[in-house]
Amino acid sequence: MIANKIVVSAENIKAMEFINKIKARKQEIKAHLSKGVILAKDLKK
Amino acid sequence: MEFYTFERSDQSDAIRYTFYTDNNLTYIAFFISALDFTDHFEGHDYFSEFGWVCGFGPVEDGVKIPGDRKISQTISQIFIDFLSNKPKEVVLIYHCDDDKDQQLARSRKFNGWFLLFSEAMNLSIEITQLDIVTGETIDLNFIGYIYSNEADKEKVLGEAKTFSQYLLASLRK
Repeated sequence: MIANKIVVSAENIKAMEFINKIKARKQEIKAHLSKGVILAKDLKK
Repeated sequence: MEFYTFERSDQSDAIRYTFYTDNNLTYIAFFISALDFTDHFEGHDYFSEFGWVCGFGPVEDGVKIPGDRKISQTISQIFIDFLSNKPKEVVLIYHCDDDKDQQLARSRKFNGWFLLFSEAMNLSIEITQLDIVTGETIDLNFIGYIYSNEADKEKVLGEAKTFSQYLLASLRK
């Protein structure tokens, strides 16, 4: 199902920025959720 | 089809889903509007208007994920929920998770998850593998363009092609 394969150098600014932005947004969502989980556990104590 | 109950949270530029598995893992799925990626989608009018960047995975980093069919079935249900009130022109730009050892496996697994709902939702997918090389290290990334078979396929695949060319551009001088 993989139609294309691209190999780029890490010095490729656009590719790195795009992938890093997705990863950063995902980490933000994870961090937000982790705080909520910790808070919920604290409230249970 | 058996799946976990999931929660949906709508934010200004993103929609987030959460569910908890029987093995105490917390999973997220997210859909971020192309408006948050305007710098990257410049010149891609179709993606700019109808694109959503999405991904999913466990919140806990580095955990071993036990075999659990309900996870893939839940992911499928989440995609169905997300797309159910969206126009047929919507394109999902899916990024595979960044765990280097499991990316290929996850990409293959995703194909399985995708097959669970693609037929019912009349969808197709075009996958580009993006390998980012740093010295001797290769960071594998998979970008899947998911689109309705009722959408303008030529337009979607045309922008997918030029976006791949965009990702190849701009080498640091």
